[in-house]
Amino acid sequence: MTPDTTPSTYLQSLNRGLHAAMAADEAVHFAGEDVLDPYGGAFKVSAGLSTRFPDRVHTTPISEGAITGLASGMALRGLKPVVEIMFGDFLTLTFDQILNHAVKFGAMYGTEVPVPMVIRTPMGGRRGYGPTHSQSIEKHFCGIPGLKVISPSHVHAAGDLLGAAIASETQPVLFIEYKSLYPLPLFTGSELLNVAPAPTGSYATRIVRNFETGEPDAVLIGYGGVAPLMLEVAERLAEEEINVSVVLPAVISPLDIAPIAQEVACARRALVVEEGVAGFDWGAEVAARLHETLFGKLDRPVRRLASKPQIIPTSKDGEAGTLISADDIEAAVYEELA
Amino acid sequence: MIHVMRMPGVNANEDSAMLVRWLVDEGAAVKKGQLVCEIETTKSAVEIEAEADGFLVPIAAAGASQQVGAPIAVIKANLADAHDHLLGADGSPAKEAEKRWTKKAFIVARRLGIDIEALAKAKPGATLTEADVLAAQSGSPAEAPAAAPVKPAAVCPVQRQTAAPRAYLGVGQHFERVLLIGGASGAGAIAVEAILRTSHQKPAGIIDTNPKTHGQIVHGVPVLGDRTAIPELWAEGRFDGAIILFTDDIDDRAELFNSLVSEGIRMTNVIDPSVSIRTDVKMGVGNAIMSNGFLAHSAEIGNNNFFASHNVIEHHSKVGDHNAFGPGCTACGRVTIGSYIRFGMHVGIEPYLTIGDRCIIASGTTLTRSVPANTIVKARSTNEFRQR
Amino acid sequence: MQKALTPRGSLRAMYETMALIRAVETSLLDLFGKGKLRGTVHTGIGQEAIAAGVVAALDLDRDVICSNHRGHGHYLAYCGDAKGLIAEIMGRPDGVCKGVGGSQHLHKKNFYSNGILGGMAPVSVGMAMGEKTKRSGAIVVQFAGDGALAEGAFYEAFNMAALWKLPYMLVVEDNGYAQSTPKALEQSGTLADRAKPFGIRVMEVDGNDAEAVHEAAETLSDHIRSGAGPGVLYCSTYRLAPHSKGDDIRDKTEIADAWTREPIVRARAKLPLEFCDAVDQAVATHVRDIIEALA
Ligand SMILES: Cc1ncc(C[n+]2csc(CCOP(=O)(O)OP(=O)(O)O)c2C)c(N)n1
Ligand SMILES: [Mg+2]
Repeated sequence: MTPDTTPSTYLQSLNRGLHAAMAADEAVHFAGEDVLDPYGGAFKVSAGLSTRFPDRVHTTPISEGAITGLASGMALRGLKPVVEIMFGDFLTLTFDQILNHAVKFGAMYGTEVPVPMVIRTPMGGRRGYGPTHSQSIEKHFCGIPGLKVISPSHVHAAGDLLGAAIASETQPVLFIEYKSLYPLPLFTGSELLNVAPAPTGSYATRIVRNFETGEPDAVLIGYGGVAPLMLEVAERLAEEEINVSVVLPAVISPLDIAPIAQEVACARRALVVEEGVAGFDWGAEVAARLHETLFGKLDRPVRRLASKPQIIPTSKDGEAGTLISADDIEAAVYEELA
Repeated sequence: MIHVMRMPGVNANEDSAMLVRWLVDEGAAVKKGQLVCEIETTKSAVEIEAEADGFLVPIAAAGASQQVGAPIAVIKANLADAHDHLLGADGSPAKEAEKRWTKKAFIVARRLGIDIEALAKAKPGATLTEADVLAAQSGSPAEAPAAAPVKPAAVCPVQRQTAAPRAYLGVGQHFERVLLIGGASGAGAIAVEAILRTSHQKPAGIIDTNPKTHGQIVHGVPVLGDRTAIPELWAEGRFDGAIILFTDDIDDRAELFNSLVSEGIRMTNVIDPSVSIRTDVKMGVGNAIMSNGFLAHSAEIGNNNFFASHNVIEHHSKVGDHNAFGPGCTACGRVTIGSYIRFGMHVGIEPYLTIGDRCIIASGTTLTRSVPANTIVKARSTNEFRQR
Repeated sequence: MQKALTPRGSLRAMYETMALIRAVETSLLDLFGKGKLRGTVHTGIGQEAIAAGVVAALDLDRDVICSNHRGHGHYLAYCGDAKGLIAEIMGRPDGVCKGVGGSQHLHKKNFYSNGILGGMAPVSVGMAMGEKTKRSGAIVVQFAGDGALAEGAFYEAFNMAALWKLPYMLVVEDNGYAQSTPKALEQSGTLADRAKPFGIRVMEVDGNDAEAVHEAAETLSDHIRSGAGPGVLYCSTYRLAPHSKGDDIRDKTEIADAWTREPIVRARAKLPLEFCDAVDQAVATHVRDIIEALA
């Protein structure tokens, strides 16, 4: 598939990626709750698909576990299903199908059995949906052997990435989209920030820097919905002469630490940011891997930043006080540099 | 509304005071007039009152001395606007207030122990930058902006430089990024450690012939490719100086050094901080001197030499180019060492002797007469083993 | 072993299948007793007629089978590969899944099993969706026990299979127990009726009568293959051996009584004795040779 270079929002990019993937391969089927036009999915990511591919778009009963199983079955029999789970919070219902079924078929029969399926779901808060519709629970799916967890930021060509996952992966992919990114234009750089060159359409980790020459004073590592916060902080820090690199992996599990470690090896100070709640978090894995790779080479221990370990209130202030913010990140950078 | 509390001047002839302890918790609601902390000068201890109603967030830690006038806490009407106090210089609503310095300037000043308040007073109206602070440190006015990339001049292999240690600052651009050629080896490991122990250098990357290492992290440093990658890395400004660390093939080492120099790539020295360098020592470039070396008065080192640990080059001795020294070699006073020589370990050289080019000297040898060029000096005896 | 020249659905052919399953599983229990096997096995001793009867009604070139923890019989009926199965359970690299899957996780051609109860229902329905999309004409048959029907996944799967008229057949092997628990202690209502409200056709049959099972499976598979939607074949049977090995707390007289009504006894009554003895002889030799070769 040729990379889509039309300027667009994260949501439009994903929608175009789905259209392109379905147009490119008859084996691609799309299933989920409320995905038919004119509704087009709760967040409109699937808009237009059912009109264009009526035989391959299936609106399903409200059975998250079963539609995930459905996808494995279709994948085992030669199709390439894409399943939409309406809210990431509902992934809890798919856990058995992912852990004890989808990722097992590929590996437990002695020879590799292809199970090309993508489960995509909107994650995260900042929309006032309250305790059960605002969470970031992907950490519970990280570290499952055989499952690739992908969560692109708006610095990635999200649609191309989704298209690549659908077209080329032969084992299950959990594709996490941050709701808060949907309306944002894909980020290609700003007056103060530059995106380091990376191959397009790939899962490559993106690096955004707030300096042209020299070295970072600190590295911010994160994925998905915290990307805009980290970029905002990078802009603020540029005005304070503080060089930061924002490192954004798209494949969050299994984690390729090399591109992250390369940047951190220069700065020797790193902060990992995520929207999920603190404790047993993704940042813990990143920190551990960085310490393994760069033992004795860091100026400070890797700092983890996450949302408060509590439920996410619906009210604006309550939610804002719970989720990680740009101010939290900025303050932590100063503390790490102090 | 945010109110900033500053360290009061309690004592006319002291410009700082110790903040002994906070009497309220972070974020505590305070009333104007309520006692919030205790400060101490050499002459007195005083309790300080809250200057407004609100929530108090301390900036200054207990147990530390603060300049008079430095912000010590903010009192906020609303706790939600947290964190903007942190290093927030004056703590007042950041955007409205006149910015007196960048945060980087503040951080660098603190690292260097420079009183930024005083500096700001001396430059009223200006926003202090990192460059201003650095200029204050070296006593000269800021010239080129700190972030300007180092543009090294091409180095001529015969040119000798004085190895005077330069005061680098360890932040931003103020260190040299070193490319380690052959750095995936054991010599690379000790060189990386030497670099990390200095405050003026950082490893920029490793060059290694083994393609398996490319893209990997070795010794905590990314391996960037093989030697063909060097010109491009240089052109991209990815490093400030290079060092060659392999010693297995001296001719290869020399040829690479000469070709890099002729391409205008700057070679640098990597000297472990434990190396002791005395007065009037002269040194070229491309030398790696590992831990506990000693270069005595008026020693002269050429280019592209590798000294393993515990090498001693005594006073007025001269070392040529492209030599490799094993651990623990000692050249006594006024020795002249040529070029392209391999020394094993624990080679001793008596005073006034000359070692010609392209010799190989076996481990454990003590040289008592000069060695002509192209000579192999064997050890006098190898170990003999017998059953006890 | 030599496949008989008899048609697959004939009682003689089904007897051969049942005898092979019985011989293999009896040997497995024996190997277990001798400490030659690790982990666990669940045998279907007493339930062979269901495997033999259902599989004989399928089109083995295209139909798909999803099996469960008690799946040796289904596997043997599907492909007769006793050596691959025994080697697999022994954890050997020449096992059908190289010793990775073991007893409960078998895969060969269109046969897949998984030890998680109920989870394969939506997977089977997805496979049926795949086959329908490809217009392969294949049907997907899932085997499950009475106890598993308490898993919610079935009802999500029934709903989708019926809604989309998918070629899905669930074969319930009601042996009256789930591990140690009798059906009465864990299932409400009439189990056979569970799928009916979804508009799914249910056929009930004596699961110890191979011919009856086969006939019903043919009728139901024709119905499903015609595009009329999913079906449930509800078979009553009894497990003669322990749930896995040596963990039986059931009433001894109940078990003894069941031995008089088990499928092999029932088939033997209708077949010439010499035929049956010859088959028994042949499978015994076949299985013994395999085990000796693997020892
Ligand atoms: C999800 C799940 N829960 C529990 C078990 C443990 N388990 C294995 S077999 C079994 C009993 C199953 O009973 P039934 O479905 O009637 O099948 P049967 O063993 O009688 O053939 C249980 C509880 C399991 N494998 N999977
Ligand atoms: Mg049962």
